[in-house]
Amino acid sequence: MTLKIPAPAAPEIVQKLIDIVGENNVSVSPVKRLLNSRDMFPVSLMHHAEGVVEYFADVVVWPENAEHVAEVVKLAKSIRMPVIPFGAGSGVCGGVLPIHGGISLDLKKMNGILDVSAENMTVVAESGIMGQTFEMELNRRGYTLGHFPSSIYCSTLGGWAAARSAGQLSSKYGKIEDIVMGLEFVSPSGDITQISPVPGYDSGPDWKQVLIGSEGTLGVITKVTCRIHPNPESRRFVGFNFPDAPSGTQAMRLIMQHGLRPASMRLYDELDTMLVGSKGAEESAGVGLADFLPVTQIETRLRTIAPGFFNKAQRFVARWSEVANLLEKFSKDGCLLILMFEGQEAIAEYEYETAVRLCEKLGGKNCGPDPALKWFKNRYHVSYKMSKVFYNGAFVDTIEVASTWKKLIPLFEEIRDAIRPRAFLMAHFSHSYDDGCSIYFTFLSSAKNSIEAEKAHRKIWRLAMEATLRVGGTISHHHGIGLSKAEYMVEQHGDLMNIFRAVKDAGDPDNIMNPGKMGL
Amino acid sequence: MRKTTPGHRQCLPDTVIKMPSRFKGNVEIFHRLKEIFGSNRVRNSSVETLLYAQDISPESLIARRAGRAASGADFIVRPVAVEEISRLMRVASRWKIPILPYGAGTSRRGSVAPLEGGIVCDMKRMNRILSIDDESLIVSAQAGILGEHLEHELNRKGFTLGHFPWNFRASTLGGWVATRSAGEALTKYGGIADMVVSMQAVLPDGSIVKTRTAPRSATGPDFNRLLTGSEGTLAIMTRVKLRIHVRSRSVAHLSFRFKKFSDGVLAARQMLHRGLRPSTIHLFDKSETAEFFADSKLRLSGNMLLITFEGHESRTEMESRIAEAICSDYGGDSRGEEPSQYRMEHRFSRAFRTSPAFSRKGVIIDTIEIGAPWSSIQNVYESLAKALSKRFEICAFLSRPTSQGAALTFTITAKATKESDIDLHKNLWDKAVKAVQSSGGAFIPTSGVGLRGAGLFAEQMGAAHNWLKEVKVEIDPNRILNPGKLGL
Repeated sequence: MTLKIPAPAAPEIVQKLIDIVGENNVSVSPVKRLLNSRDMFPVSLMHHAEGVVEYFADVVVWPENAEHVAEVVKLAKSIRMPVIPFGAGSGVCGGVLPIHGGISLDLKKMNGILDVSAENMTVVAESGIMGQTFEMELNRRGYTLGHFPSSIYCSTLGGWAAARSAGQLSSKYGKIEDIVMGLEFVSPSGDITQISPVPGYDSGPDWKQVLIGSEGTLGVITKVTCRIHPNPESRRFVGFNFPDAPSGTQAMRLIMQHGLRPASMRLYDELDTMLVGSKGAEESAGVGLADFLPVTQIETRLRTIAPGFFNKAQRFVARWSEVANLLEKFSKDGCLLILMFEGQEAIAEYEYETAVRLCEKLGGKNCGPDPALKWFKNRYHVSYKMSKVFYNGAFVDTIEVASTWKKLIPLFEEIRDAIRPRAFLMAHFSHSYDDGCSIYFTFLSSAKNSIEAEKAHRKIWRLAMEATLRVGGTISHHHGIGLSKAEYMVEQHGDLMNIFRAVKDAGDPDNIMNPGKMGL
Repeated sequence: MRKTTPGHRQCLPDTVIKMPSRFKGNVEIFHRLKEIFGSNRVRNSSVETLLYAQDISPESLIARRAGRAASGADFIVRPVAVEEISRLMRVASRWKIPILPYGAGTSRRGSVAPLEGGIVCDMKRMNRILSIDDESLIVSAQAGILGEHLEHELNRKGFTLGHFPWNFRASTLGGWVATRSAGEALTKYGGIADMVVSMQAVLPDGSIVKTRTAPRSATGPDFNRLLTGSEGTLAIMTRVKLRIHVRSRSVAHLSFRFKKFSDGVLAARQMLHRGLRPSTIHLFDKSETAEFFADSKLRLSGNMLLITFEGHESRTEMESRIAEAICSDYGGDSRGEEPSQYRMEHRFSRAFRTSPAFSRKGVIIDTIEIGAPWSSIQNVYESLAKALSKRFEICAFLSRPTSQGAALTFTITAKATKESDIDLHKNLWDKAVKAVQSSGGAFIPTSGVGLRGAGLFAEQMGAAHNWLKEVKVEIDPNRILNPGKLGL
C-alpha cells in the first residue's frame, strides 16, 4: 500500500516561517511531517499498522525561543492556519493529531534549564526539555522534580503541563499542577504572557490552572517554574497481599488519611496480581500482559512467514480474552499492594513502619520488599511493549478513571462487568489521595479486521465512560482528552463546557490553536 | 441570618450622602424580587442597604469618618435555594442590574462595594451542612455557612477543615472560596483552593453548573480553580464540597527565641526543606512579639519562632525532634510550649484588633501582605522596615511557609498628622509599593483582589487580564455579576 501524502504548506508560507525561525528550523519533508502527525493513540496506531495515515501536518517548525513561538502564532493567525504544539508525541488520546492540517510547532529545541535555586527549591526550564533529561540534570545537582510518568523517556515538561500529567510518585510529590508554580505561555493572539510564581499565596482566578490541561487549545507553554526537592536520602519498599480489592483499597485509604505520603502505592487486582506473580513481579499492565498473551512473541516470527496462521492466533485471542478473565477464579494470592517510601531518612522510616503496622492490623500478609523493588526496577517498561500488539485486529488500551473512596469499588465493579464480556481486563489502583483514588484498567481484545477492531474498541470505551458518568467519577485521571474522549466532555462537565468555550472563543476567536480537540 | 459583622455595628457613618442609582425605587424590579423571594426576604430600606455597603477596608473607614458613606445597593435579597438565585440572575439580566454576592462583609478590599447600585445577594441563609462522607473525608456545605460554624460542627464530629484565615470568626465558606482565602495552617492543609473538591454554582444566564466530584481530573482546565478567586464576577457559588481531616489527637507546640530575624528565617526554611510539615509556623519580629504578648504573663522579647505540629503522636514527636535540632543549629533558644499555645489561643483577637475597622480615632491601621521566595524574604523585610519605620509604627511576622517561600505580614499603624487621612494612607501605600517592587516580593491580598487590588492584579496577570475581561463579556454579557471588581 502506498501512503498518500497531501501537499505541504505553500512555498510563500514556508518562506515566512523561515524568515521567523531560520532555514534549519522548518521542514516540509514527508518523513518529518509524518513523525509529527502521530502519537500513541491506539486507534491511530491501528491505522498506522495498516499503513494508513489519516492526518498530515502541512509543515513542521522548531522555534528556539518564545519570540519565535509568538511570531509563528501571529503568522498562523493572520492566515488562519492551525498550530499544533508538539512535545514528544507520546500522548494516548490523539491530542496532537493534525486533523485540520497546519503547523506542527515542535518545541524540543527549547530545552534549556534556566535556573535552579537551592534556597527556593525551584527550577525554571524551557518547555521542550525531555522529561528524563530534565530529571537527570536535576539529580546531578542534588534534586528531584518528583514527576515520573511512565512516558518519562518520551515526553516533555511542556507536554506534562499541557496534558495535566500525573507521575507515578504523585502521592508524595504531587501532580504536575501542584509542581508547576509559574508559566510563560504564548496566547493565541501571539502575546507572550507570564504567570509569575507567588510563594505564600495569590488571589484571583488561577489562570495557570486554565492553561494546565488545555492541551494546546489555549496557547503554547514556553517556560515553566517548578518546585523541586532534595534527592531522597533513603527508600523503603514493602509488599502486602490482601484478600481482595475492597480490603486492599481500604488499606490504601487509611494510609493516606493517616497522613502518610508513600512515594508509590499500587494495588493490583486479582488477575493483575496473578500475572505479576507468574512473571516474578515485573510491572504488570503491559509487560505481564504482553508476555502472558502470545501476541507479541508470535507476531515477530509469524507475521511475515505465515500470516494466515497469525490471523488464527489473533482470533483465538479474541475468544480467549473472555476465558482469560475466568483465570481470576483460580487466584490464590488475592491482591498485591506495593509500597515505597522515600525522602529524609527519619521521615521515610517513620512512614514505612507506620504503614507496615497499619497493613498488618488490617489483615494484610507481609511479603517483604521484593515485589515493590521489582516494580521500581521495571516501572517504565509498560508503555514500550504495547504498540507491538496492533496488528490484524488485535488491540490493547488503558482506561484511567478516578473517584472518591466511597464510589471506588462500585466504579471498579461497574466498569469491570461492562468490559469483561468483550475483552481481557485487569486493573490496578494507584494515585491515591485523602479523598479518593484512580483505577487503571488495561484491556486487550481483537476483532476480525481493523475496521471491526476500531468499532469494538470504541464500544468498550463507551461502556467504560458511561459507567463512570453513571456511578460518579471522572472520565480521565491523567491521560487527558485529546480526540478520543472529546465526545464525553459535555457529559463530564455539563454547562461548564460553556465556560471552556467562552475562554476559547475569547482567546482564540479564529480557532487556530489545536482545533477540533477536547470537544471545543 | 440577621447577624451583621462587628465592623458594621461599630462604624456607622455620621452623615449619609445618597448617591443616585439607576434603580432606586424601581417598583417593577422590587415586585419581581418579591415574587422570587417573598416579601420577607427582600429589603430596600436605605439603612439596611447602607449597612451592606460597608466593608472593613481602611478606605471605607476613612470615608465613614469623613462622613462620606459609600452609596448603598438598591435591594437586598436573602436566598434559601439555588433555584432562587437562578431566577434572580434572569431578572437581573433583563434589567441589567448588578448582583453583589455577599457573605460576612469582612473584605479589606472593597470586594462587595456596590459601585453601581444593584442587588445585594446575602448568602447567609444558605448555611447548612448537607452531608459528611466519612469514608472519603468530604464535607458538602452551602456557601453561606459561617466558617467558624462549619469548623465547629466538623470538630464536634471529630473532623477539621484546617482552614483558619485571619477573619475566621466573621467570614463564610462562599467568601473563602470566592476570595481564594489562605489560612495560617496552609503549610499542612493548603489554601482553600486546595480544599475544594467540587462546587455548585449559578452562571449569569441562570444555568446551574456543577464541577465533578473526583480527587483529580485531566479533563481540561480546572474549573474549580477558575471560579475559586473570581469574587463573584463569573458565578455565584451555592454549594461546596471540601476535603476534611480527622482531627488530630496530638498538637505539639514549640517556641524558640532568635537573636536575629534572619536566623529564624533560615531555621524555618530548613524545616520545610527537610520535609517537615508543621501545621503552622510564625516568626514574629521584635515589635510583633512585644505587641502580641503585651497582655500575657510570659514576658517575651526578641524574634519568636512559634511552631505547631498536628497529627498522630508518634509523628508529631518525630517532627518536633527534628525541628528542635534545626532551631538549635541556627541559634534558637527554646522557650517551651507556652508562647506557641498562647498565640494559638489569641490568634483571632489579635487579627481583629489590628483590623482597620477597630482602629481608634486619629489612627489608621492597615496590614500589608507580601509573598516572597526564601531568597528575598530578608530583603523584603528589611526594605519595608526601612521604608516605613521612620514615619509609622510597624510590626511584622512571617507565616504560611512552603518549601519555596513564605508570606510576610506587616501591621502598620499611622498616627494622623496635619495630612488628611486619605493622604496619609496613600503615602503609606506608595512607600510600601516602592519598597516591595525593588525587593523581590509580591503583594498577596489577604482577602481578595476586589477594587483595591485590581490594579496590581491586572499587572500581575499581564496580557491574560485582557483575556479574562473577554471571558467575562462572554459569560456575563449584561455585566450583572459584581461589576468593576478584579478590574472586570
